[in-house]
Amino acid sequence: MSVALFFLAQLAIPLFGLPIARHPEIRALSPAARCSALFGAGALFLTLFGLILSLYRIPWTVASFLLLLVAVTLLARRWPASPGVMLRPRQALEVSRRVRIAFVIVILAALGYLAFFTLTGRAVSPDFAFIWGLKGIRFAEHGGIDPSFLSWPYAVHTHVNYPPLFTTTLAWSAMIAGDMPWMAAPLVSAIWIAATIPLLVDLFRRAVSDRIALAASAFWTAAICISLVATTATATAEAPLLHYGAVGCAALLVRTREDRPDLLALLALTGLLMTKLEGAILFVSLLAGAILASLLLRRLRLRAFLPMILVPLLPLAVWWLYEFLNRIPMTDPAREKALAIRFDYIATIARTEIAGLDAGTFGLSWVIPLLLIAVFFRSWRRLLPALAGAAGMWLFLTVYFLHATGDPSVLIGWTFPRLMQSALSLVIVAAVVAPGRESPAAVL
Amino acid sequence: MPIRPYLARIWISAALLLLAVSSAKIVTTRRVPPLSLPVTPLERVHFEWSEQWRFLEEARPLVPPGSTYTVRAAGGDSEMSLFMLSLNLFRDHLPIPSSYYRQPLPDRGNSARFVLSFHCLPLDDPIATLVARLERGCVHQRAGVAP
Repeated sequence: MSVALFFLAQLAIPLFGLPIARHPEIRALSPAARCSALFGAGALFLTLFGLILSLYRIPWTVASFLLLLVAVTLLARRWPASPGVMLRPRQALEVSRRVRIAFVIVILAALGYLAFFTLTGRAVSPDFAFIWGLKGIRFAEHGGIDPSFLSWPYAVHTHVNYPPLFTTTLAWSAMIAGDMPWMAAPLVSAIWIAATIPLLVDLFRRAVSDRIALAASAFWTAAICISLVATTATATAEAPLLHYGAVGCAALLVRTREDRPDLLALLALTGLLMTKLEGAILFVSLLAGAILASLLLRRLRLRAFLPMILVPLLPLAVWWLYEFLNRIPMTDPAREKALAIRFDYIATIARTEIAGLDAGTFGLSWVIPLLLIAVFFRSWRRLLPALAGAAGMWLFLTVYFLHATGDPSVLIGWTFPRLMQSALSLVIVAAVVAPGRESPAAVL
Repeated sequence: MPIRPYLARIWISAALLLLAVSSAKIVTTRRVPPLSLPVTPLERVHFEWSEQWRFLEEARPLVPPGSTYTVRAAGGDSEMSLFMLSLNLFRDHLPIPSSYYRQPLPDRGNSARFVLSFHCLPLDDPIATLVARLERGCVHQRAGVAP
């Protein structure tokens, strides 16, 4: 029973996305993509509501969350009524039966693969027991973010300063279920990945033909599901990070209006910041790439970028305020010392990093999109957000490994394959968008 | 030959190739898990941590809610993981580490009423009495220590 309630609560997360449901950009999406967008936005609003309730020491209950949801939905009911930002009318997918069947087969096989290895325990990260699940159940039982636990000196191994998005979604479900279903809860990762697919299809359709959008989304799903299993990364914040990273990157790459911010990109960038610290690397490098691309293409509009830079910082500022007021360490004492760099590690780092790009497919998941990017490299300026995002993550990790104490290969083996999944995801998104629209004589 | 017209076919074929390669890799490296739910969330990824989880589950009924407890295990890393995992299962109790990130904290650990000793590590503690010897460890209680 508690397992069913736990997953019902997860599936109710899109309800918390209601405040943006009437926004023209959301209404322009297909029904499936709209549900996906509301899921991602819902997790964000849920986290923000949880933070506000905890800030005012109001206990987390279904009623307190719903009260905030109703209030914010009422406040947000007046989005611009004109279809000024309607991107294009919703149209049914124009693809052959063969493409649809192939898409469904790959999606079901990939998600089934992920679910099988998650439920049988082979893909579940130990961090679920050490960090995410632990904080989730403690927050659920405390009825809010637990400042006494997070400020306790013997809880620093739980990365107490990490923003609380994934933990809050777990705590919400555990609160409804009355417990943490330790064996089944890791399946939430599959929900996050499944929720990414319809959005990717919709976003890709703005840049390439429907059939490529479907086929490439299937490839993204297969590569990411396999990688999550190979890196034993389910039940951690990797899946939300992959969701927000892929959606944010795709939204930035296919922006059709240069004079205003893109809501999906803005929400995804906020999600990156609120999921875990590594999300900040993607946030900075994706935006840096997008701004650079706009500069090179001579169409930079600060009016479009400023909200996408500043708005995501607001929820993060609320989290920092909460940390500050409750004396929760704002840095991670368990981390390596900054600027204590060991350049003699470079050879080990290079060797171990290459091995870490296996992604469960002998590196094929990387090679295929990289080859396609190479073929269509003339469009590199447009791809800069994705390329900068992927390169930024790699650069950050490499510099981080130069700070390792002791043999860096242990640290690399543990963190690199997991975190480079976000880079892999961005490389795939870039490869999809790279060719642009095809001729009508396409095959399949 | 321009590949643009074949892109959809390439993406789908590549996706199927990834699934085939990864499945073959898992079968050949014998990483196919049994068709059953694991006993602990760690059973199929880290044997020792899973055993520690099971020990903590067995020990929990023997430690009254509200009591202080500490954990002992051979080696700093093992004791650290046991302590971290105990925070999941002993949520109604007051944890006191005997070490943290390999730093011994004997003064703190000795102030705990209950000692959960993984694999029944010998305790050099005259006031500790054995409460129960379990399959994966022992539970001791210290007389005269506040709960």
